[in-house]
Amino acid sequence: MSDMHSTPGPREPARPGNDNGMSRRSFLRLSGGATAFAGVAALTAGLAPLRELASFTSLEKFLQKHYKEMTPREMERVLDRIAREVERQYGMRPHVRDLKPMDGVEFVYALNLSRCIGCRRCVHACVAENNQSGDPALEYIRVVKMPQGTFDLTKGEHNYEPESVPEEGYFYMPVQCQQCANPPCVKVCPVRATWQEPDGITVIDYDWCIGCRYCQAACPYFARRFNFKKPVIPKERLNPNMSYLGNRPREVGVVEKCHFCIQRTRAGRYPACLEVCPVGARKFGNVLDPESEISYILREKRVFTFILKEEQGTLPRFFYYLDK
Amino acid sequence: MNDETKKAAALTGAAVVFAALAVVFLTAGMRERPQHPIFLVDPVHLDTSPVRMNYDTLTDARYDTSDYDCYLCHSRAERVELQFDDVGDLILKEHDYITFAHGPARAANYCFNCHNRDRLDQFRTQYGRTLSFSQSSELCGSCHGVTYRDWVADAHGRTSGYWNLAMGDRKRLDCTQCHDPHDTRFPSLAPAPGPHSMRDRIPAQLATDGRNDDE
Ligand code: HEC
Ligand code: HEC
Ligand code: HEC
Ligand code: HEC
Repeated sequence: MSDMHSTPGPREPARPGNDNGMSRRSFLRLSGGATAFAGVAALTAGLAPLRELASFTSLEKFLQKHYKEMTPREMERVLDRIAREVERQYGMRPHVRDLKPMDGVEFVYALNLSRCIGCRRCVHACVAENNQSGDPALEYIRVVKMPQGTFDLTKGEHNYEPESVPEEGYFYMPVQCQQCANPPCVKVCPVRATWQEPDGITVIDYDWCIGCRYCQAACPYFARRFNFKKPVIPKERLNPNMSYLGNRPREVGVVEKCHFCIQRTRAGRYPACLEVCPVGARKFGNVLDPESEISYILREKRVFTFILKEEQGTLPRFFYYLDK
Repeated sequence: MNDETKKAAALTGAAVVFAALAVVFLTAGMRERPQHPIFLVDPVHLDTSPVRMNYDTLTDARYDTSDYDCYLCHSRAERVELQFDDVGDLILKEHDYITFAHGPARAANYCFNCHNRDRLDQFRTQYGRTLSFSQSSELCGSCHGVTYRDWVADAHGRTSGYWNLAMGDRKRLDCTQCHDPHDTRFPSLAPAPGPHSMRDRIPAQLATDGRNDDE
């Protein structure tokens, strides 16, 4: 073979007697190499998005057990994995916890419709606290404006934008997850990714959710949101106080909803929507404690629940009431 | 066709396929980038401060409280006289910046329903109890018993901090941090922007519709 006799070098020298000055073989080798090179380059570029997918942390996530089957040590490792993932994506180390329900605590929310002025501060405080995506924008709370004297949701309006609120002749009704004691959303989940906790909060394990959206369709309150795209949250807007079943950043393809600010309320604090409400229309607490304001309200006020489909018997833990 | 031509053809084919894939992925990546500004919460809407500063909060913030220093202008020796017009409305002189609208019928527009005529820097309830400017909530309570009881139970007004008192403290706002004692109606506010995921999309029927429309 001619190769053997040629001087060492990357390319075979052209030999006399070959009319185009280059052997077919060397041409093929050259073009083959170039093609292969282009192919590898294209492959690398083409697979770039998969790099993220195939990262070590995702493998850990893939092998993770169901929330209820994890030992505390396993959970610790999962929380560490989440912290690392957040740090990689957002460049900040979050404080991720898995707060457990407290004994003797069942959460109830009550909203005073004669106070609410429809200012929507709760909507925005919720987005900021719970790391909701800014693009596409997701919100857990929606406020419906309705003519006074009716309770007709078909007359409700979401997109009101007056100079100032309240507007004469209207009342405002904020709606979010009603934390039903008999939740239709939980029943339809085929993979047990959403369930009711002992303190009454219906939670979602974002690592377990497969994004089938049955729960979303089952919810009569329109309370669940789906991440159609990868959520976008600017680094500087990320709330670093996170919890596993709460406000840790979500991935594309999972469902999320109000969880009573689990990262705050299981640490004894009030939810963010309550603290921002300027009129004090929002009340929250432990219904098993007779001294709590929520027990007082259930005792003293005419409370009612928001029933959309009576036959479902959802039994919301979210009450509405009027003062007069 | 010999082996080598086949190999070259296969390689070229693969290169073309990968190049096409690369283009698809890259443009897909580009499409994912927002074509419009990302919706961010305006921190203005996250402000948890009360709508009004009362005597205590003004004092704590070391603001000017000379308005509360009645005896800067009034004399302790002279009783303040009130003047009324023909229909019985109070004529305010120096304090005409005070808007009087306490209740629908301006029920409590007699200054000395609340202020102590004999000691202007105090309140006096209808039962004769004197209170300092820091005790205005109790003053309100002397006439608004039901609301006061709700307030003490944290059912009227606003709280922040801990629902669980075993884990931390709770703050409760005074009546005068929400209500101007002279003009009691809660002020109207500019609403924060409306729903983004639903803007212009879901009209009335959404309310009973189990889907969200951010598709
Ligand atoms: C900046 C000076 C100033 C301060 C401070 C002040 N007043 Fe006066 N106030 C006046 C003057 C001047 C009048 C008019 C007196 C008159 O016509 O005899 C007046 C009148 C009044 C009147 C009669 C209604 C009216 O407007 O004519 C009442 C009641 C009154 N003051 C209560 C108070 C109380 C209570 C305080 C403290 C919380 C207070 N004032 C602080 C200057 C002041
Ligand atoms: C319903 C009870 C009530 C009535 C009636 C009332 N006040 Fe007051 N007033 C208060 C309270 C409470 C404060 C202190 C509020 C705070 O902490 O900011 C106050 C504060 C004031 C102050 C000092 C702060 C300021 O706004 O300038 C003046 C002056 C004053 N009142 C004058 C009057 C005069 C004049 C009248 C009658 C026209 C009157 N008040 C009637 C409850 C009352
Ligand atoms: C001297 C008794 C008295 C005191 C003290 C008093 N109020 Fe009133 N207030 C009334 C009366 C009377 C009404 C009218 C009630 C009605 O029409 O139903 C009223 C009405 C109101 C209203 C409006 C109710 C409505 O239906 O629109 C508010 C809010 C209010 N008071 C707040 C306060 C606050 C805050 C204080 C303490 C700074 C206070 N009041 C102190 C007697 C008092
Ligand atoms: C978080 C702010 C806040 C605080 C604190 C607060 N209120 Fe109110 N209050 C409101 C709002 C909002 C309304 C609804 C009516 C309105 O727009 O004024 C209201 C209504 C009222 C009314 C009218 C009757 C009713 O129940 O609708 C009275 C009387 C009243 N408040 C008295 C008080 C008294 C007395 C205190 C203190 C013991 C107090 N408020 C503390 C926000 C507050």
